[in-house]
Amino acid sequence: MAKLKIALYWAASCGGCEIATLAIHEKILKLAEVADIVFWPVGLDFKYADVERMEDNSVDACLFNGAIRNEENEYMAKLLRAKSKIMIAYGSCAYEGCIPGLSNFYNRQLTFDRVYIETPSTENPKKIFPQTKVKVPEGELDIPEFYDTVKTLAQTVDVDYFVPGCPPEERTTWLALEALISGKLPPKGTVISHSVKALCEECPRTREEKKVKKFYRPYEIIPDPEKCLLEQGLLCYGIATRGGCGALCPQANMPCTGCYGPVEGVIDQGAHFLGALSSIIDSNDPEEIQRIIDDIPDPAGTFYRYSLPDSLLRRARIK
Amino acid sequence: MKRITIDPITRLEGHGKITIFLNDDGSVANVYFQVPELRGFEKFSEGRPAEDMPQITQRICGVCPEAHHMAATKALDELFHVEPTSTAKKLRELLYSAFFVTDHTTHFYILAAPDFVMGPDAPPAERNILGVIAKVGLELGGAVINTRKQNHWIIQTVGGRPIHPCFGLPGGVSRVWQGIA
Repeated sequence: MAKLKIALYWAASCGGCEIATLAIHEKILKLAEVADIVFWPVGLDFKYADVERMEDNSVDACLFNGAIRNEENEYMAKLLRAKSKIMIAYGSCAYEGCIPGLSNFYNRQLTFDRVYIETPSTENPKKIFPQTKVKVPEGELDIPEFYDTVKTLAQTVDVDYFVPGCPPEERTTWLALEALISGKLPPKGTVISHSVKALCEECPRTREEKKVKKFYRPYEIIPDPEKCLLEQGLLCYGIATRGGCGALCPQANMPCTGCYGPVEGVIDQGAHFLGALSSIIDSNDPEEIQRIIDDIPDPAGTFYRYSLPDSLLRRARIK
Repeated sequence: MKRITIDPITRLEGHGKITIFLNDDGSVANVYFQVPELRGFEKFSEGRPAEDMPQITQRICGVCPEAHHMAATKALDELFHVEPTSTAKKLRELLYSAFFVTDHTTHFYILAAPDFVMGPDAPPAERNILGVIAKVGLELGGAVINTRKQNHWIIQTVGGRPIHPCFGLPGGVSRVWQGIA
């Protein structure tokens, strides 16, 4: 059997997905036996021009991580889509926008003002901002256009599968690679994880009754190590998050922050969490309810920590 | 003027592009290095809860998230005017030491070594980690993989997760040391 051809790319991302790909450890050797990697900027020296020269549909699968933040990200998404039979949104950024997607609370100009003018370590008296084209004595240079809004991969090109996580855990990555290697592919559109249910299903903490009188921030209490964190008033996102990671954060006494995305069938993870929260607040008095909710700092940024671009909101309206 | 464009720069974390302009005699007139990426952490970190900064800022770089996680955690110590306990400091240092080991294997074997082990003229299909493993042999290659695995295990055991740990809090860490099962 001919070896599979796999491409890996990073758009607006952190590189954690590349380390996650390597974190299959000894299985790398197994992968190398059955697949050739034809493009992978962090590990291989092939250039964009090499990808442009490839025949369309000549790559068996592309694992694309990173959000679509600028013109280059969009160009590479479209290029790799054309070259690949299977397009996989690998990791939370490509799948739902992730942390870089928090940028959708602002816009390009607000971001540029902060980055290139206001930060204490910046000295820019002429107020120079990035230009897509600039003339230098030797010729012209260009950089990709920075967009107003962060998009997901599926908002940019047709996507066949999604691999959740920031980054995907070893077992999740291998589940996706095994499907590719064996050719036993799930239906198009599948979010590849060991679970379709909420993280709570695999969390070892004991659950009793969810009745919360007060929300706490993680530094305010030392939580009981055995009991459900949400029941103790910590904003644990497991109730609205797809399982599959093994509930690692709750086992480290930290609330789940939601990086595996919504559970199967849910469109908007933040709205799902909001709905779940409203049912556990232990009060019928509007004033008391308001006081309880006021203890939650930055609800939008917390509920949509990883999913703002993929949510029904997509972005904030800037006046 | 003739130009050579290297796009993207490879085997490093991040996005970069190099444009080399050549004179008519082939000598280099000038070289421009450009970083075409920006995500805007400087802006979108505003308004987020301070205690979330260790987990947000580590997404600046997932190759060295522990460095960002630790920097933000130490900033929280300062912000809250708290001195971590001796145990907390040691646990932070243990995690960071394990990171130090994995990060050096990342840097050496994956990013830099292909130039030395395979040579700068080796074809791109071989000048990479898999080419390095093929050349140095499975025994050494396996030892590198095993070192990474062990140290990721330490990072997860102490910090909660093998990549993007979650244990940093002002004045300490989130979990009690219960020994190794």
